[in-house]
Amino acid sequence: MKCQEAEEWMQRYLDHDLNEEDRSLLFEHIHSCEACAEAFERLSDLSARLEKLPQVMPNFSLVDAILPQLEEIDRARLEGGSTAETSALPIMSMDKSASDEFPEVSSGRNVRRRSGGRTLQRSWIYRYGALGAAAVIILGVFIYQYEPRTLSDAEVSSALQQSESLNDQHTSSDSAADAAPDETALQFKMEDSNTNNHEVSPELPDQTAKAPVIDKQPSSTDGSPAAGDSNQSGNSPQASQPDARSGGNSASDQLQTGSQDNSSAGNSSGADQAQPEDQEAMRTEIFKNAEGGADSADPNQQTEQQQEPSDKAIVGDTADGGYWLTGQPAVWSSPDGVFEAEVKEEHLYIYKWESEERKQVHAELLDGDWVTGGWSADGHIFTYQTEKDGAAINHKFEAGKTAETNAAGEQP
Amino acid sequence: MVEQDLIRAAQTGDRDALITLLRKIENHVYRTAYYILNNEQDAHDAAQEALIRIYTKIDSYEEKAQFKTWVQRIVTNICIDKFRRQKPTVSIDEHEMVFQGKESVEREVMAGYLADDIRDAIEQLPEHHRSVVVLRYLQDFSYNEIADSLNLPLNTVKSYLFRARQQLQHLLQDYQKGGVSG
Repeated sequence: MKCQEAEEWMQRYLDHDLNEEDRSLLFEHIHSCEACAEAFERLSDLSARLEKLPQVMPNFSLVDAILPQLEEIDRARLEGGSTAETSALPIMSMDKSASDEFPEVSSGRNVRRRSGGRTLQRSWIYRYGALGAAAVIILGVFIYQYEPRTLSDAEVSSALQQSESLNDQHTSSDSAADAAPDETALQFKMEDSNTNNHEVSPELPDQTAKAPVIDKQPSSTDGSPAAGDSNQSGNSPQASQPDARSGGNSASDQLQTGSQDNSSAGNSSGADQAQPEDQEAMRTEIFKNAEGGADSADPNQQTEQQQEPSDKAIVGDTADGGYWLTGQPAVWSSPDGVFEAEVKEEHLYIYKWESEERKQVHAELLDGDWVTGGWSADGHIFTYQTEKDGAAINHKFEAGKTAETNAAGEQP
Repeated sequence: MVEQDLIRAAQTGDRDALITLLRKIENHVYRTAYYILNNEQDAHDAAQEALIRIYTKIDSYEEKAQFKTWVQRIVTNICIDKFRRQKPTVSIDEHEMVFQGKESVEREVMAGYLADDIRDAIEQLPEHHRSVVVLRYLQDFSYNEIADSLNLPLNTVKSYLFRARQQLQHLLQDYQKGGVSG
């Protein structure tokens, strides 16, 4: 037997946990090992002292002392049947309001104990309540945030801008923001902003802690602010249309309302479905805006909501089958995998995969703001929609042609 | 121990039986509270709170469990709550031997009696180590009974108890030597 084992066995022995055989082995070792013999003696002494601890008794009868309270509990049970302890202790007065001889305060100690109990219960309630609220908020953020988004510095800042303004005032996007906020854009999807914010916040030192609601308002006013965007997109809460890539300010406003709605709507995936393209465009813009000027907008709400998704917005799907990679534009692959459409910086690029290499076959400046797009079933025609001056424009690109012929032209 | 009949009667609404039951266990409840909290007033408070809780929750006791472990669970939970609220500086990390630096120095200065030494040393233990020692030596609980009361795995109970004894040895040596404990 090794000394370490013996040490453990000594302890067990003191707890009467060794059988006869093991006891013999233990004592054999102790007899032959001086260190263990000494250790055993010290341990035994300690244990003996512990065994001799006095069996203390209370100074008075505790049960007698609590009888009044027990009676209250009984009365409370009879009257209301609420949880006896809680109701009896802290809320006894409710039951006894009518009676003057409410014996609640029989002694200082009792009162103290009751208060202590009440405080204890209440503190637990508050504690768990706070935890529960925090959990709900975090969940909400995650749900909202579930949406991939591209993120660049500019976007981040714009996003931050947006979010901030969203919450409070339109202040945030002053710098970056274009004057013409896209109201609809502001209505942005909460998710986007949230996501953006989330990603953005850590990157934007000047941003307030809470990621500002990033509505996808682009900082630069590229597209015509389409007030009708949201309508177009038809997306309920948020104006997914990134038409107004303008200032975060107005965006903020929108965002504020939007975010409110969004928060309630809370479903980034839903929003995604509605306007993936918009979102994408908006996101980039929002980020740009955010960079511009995140004010103190304090999108607590949004932040929380935003925080979550942005973390996960590494890869996400847009509703029409495209996908976002963090920091990259939306990409749509044709069903046969031969072609890829990519929207980046207000351009549409078409690529063709040839022996594992992507080759650009077409590029064009988007006429208006990106709305949505998708490949045909045969994988050769990419149909997309942009919005300009409040009107939707449908486009078609036939990728079947080897050259970069823009087959369909722009106007349907 | 307390007879099952009395418990059953109490559970079916026999108030006298319930009161009798409380009287039978009140000393055990107080004793545990006293050694965990090492303070008479606190022990009185905690014990009364425990008795009230037992009174109100008697129906939740299931016969398959031992009544005494059920009772001790209630009182140790109340004591640990009280203990945490009163001594926020104590680390709750169960896997470390924690010494209350400042308090131990004070206690060293003040603890003149040998009789108090061991009580004070117990008070230095982290809450779960302390509970294990108290249930083992003041209530004569077996490992399993301690595990049931504290809702801990059996091996954890043994580990806590063994370490608690080692720690108590160190603390008491320090008291005797008059040096700084730890």
